Amino acid sequence: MRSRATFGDFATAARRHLEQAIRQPGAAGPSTGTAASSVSADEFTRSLRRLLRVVDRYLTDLAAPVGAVSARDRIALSPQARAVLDGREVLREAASVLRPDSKQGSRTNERQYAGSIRCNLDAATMALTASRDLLHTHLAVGPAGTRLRRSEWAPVVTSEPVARALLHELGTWIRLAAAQSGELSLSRDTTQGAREARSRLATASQHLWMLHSLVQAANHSNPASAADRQMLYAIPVNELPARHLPVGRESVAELCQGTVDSAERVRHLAWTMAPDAVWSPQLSADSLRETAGCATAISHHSAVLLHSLADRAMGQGSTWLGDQLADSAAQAASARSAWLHAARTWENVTTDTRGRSPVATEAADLVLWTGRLAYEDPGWNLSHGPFRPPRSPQSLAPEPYHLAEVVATVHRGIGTLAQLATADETQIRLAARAQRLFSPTRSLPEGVDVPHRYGRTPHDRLDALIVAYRHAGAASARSATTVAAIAAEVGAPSHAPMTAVRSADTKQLAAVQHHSAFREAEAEA
Amino acid sequence: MNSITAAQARLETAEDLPTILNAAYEAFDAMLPVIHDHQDPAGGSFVTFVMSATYAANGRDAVGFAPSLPSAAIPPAPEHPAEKGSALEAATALASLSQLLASRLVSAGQRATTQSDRIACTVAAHQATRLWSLLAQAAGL
Repeated sequence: MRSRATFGDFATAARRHLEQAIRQPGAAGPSTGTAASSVSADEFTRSLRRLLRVVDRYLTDLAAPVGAVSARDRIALSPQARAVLDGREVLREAASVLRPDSKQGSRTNERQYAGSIRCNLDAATMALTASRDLLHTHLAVGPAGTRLRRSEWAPVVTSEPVARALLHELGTWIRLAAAQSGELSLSRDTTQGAREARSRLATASQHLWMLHSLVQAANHSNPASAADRQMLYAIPVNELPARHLPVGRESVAELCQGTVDSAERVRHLAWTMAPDAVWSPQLSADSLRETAGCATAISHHSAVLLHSLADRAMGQGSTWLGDQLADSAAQAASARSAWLHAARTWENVTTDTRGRSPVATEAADLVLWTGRLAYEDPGWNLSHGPFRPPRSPQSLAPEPYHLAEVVATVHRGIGTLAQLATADETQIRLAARAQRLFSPTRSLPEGVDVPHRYGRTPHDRLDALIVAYRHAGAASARSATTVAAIAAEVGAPSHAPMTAVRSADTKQLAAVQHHSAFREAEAEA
Repeated sequence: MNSITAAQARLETAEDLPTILNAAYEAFDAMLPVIHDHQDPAGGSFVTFVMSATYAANGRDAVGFAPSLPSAAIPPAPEHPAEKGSALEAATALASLSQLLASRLVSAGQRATTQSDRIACTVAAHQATRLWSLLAQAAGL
């Protein structure tokens, strides 16, 4: 169900490389007697130093929310924060021990060595660098050095559960690096340079074990749960899937993937557009109206799909699941009604700009993807007439795992609508504050005397619009929650990321509103 | 459905730009309650009618911003039609009206002397074309 690299891909690779390095025959230290000949402590030291530099950057990231705190004041911090700050100091001591003098450095540079242990350590370092870079694709640095969010995943990346899970991961990497350093420090290479390198490695290993103990203690007091780690591993690289449309020959699995990709594009575009509602020409009644219409259609398709899945589950003898799916179909139908009301409310409100935004275009794509999935006709489109039947339950989910896949897809679709409602409500509020909303004069109460075809939208109409979006968002969120419970029950792959994104949504939009208010204040100044 | 027939008649007889714009505004506006009546999730053409409403409202707004649209001449919103007819009948009538709208607005745009009128006519004609392509297919035309 996912097509992009995730943190988990790189973290798993890093861990595998570190474990392989430990299992190398030459890494077994004094017991084999081969370590000295096959492994250069100098070369290993250089690789380890690179690894520790990356770990240092991770710890610095984790320390960012805490800021600079003196050692005396750290007692007031959480065990995690203390472990991060104290651990970073210990790590830097380990790194300083490993720093060679210039003479040593020039000598080792001449050596040609490609031992597999060092290769594994370097590969682990590369994977850890890539995984940190992946997390940073969701963030940017603001003018005052503050972190700015660049995607819907940004609040997840900076969340406490992810920080907890990341610290746990760091603990694992440090343990593996410490074990390997310790073993190499016991090798039998007796040349002068090797003895010095082994001595440095032994000291560094002790520091790393100390760091590991600090992390372990923090993990014991506030352990990272499996869900926390799942959330961390699920964070994808911040790269928008390419826009594409169904051609009519897609399998159910391909339609599911297309729907998931399109849903993500909708969320991303809605998220990035929200703060610009004060001035952006892309904010238009045409777009918001069409987006609300598309959301109505998407929730309709979700209801159709959930009904088909309920029939399938019943047919497979799973009455409980069938009932749950039927309930979720009813929730999707409620979301449909709420979105239809929001779309209609737009009929008496307009904006100072015309045109179709990228969100509206993408939402129309999502209607097409979900429609192709919901209906039997492979060429289904918006002009779908009254005689085209929904896809049969057997064709939708021939096997139980197909059912899980479609549930995951519906979860992503309906969850997207919950976020879309919040983003659009934010846009409406900002547009109203910027006096960009109007209503046709003929639709205004008779007592209102406006010598133009359009007048300012009255407060009661604006309130009705906001309430309509709030209801649409709440109904979509309720529906998403119901489908999420089913997704978790059937092991559908959408559960962790969507839950993460949803839980972070409130904070994220608060940030958007704050950011926008800041921009407004800046503009006024 | 009478409102659609009346709007079609007004649009057919309109001659100068302000009259065409006025008739187009009324036509788009008259479509909305008819479309609402057929937004039935169980009806099979639910999505078609939902999207039709957005295109009709977009078209009406586009005309509404044309400088040559006479502001005083806009009559009150039409009353809700008493008889809604079948979805197929509604789609057929609406498709026919939207085809006429597209055609009249394109020619009005070509005759417009100001840029803003031309843009308004072009955008509204585009929305009418979208409406027509949606409804004509649903009506089996």
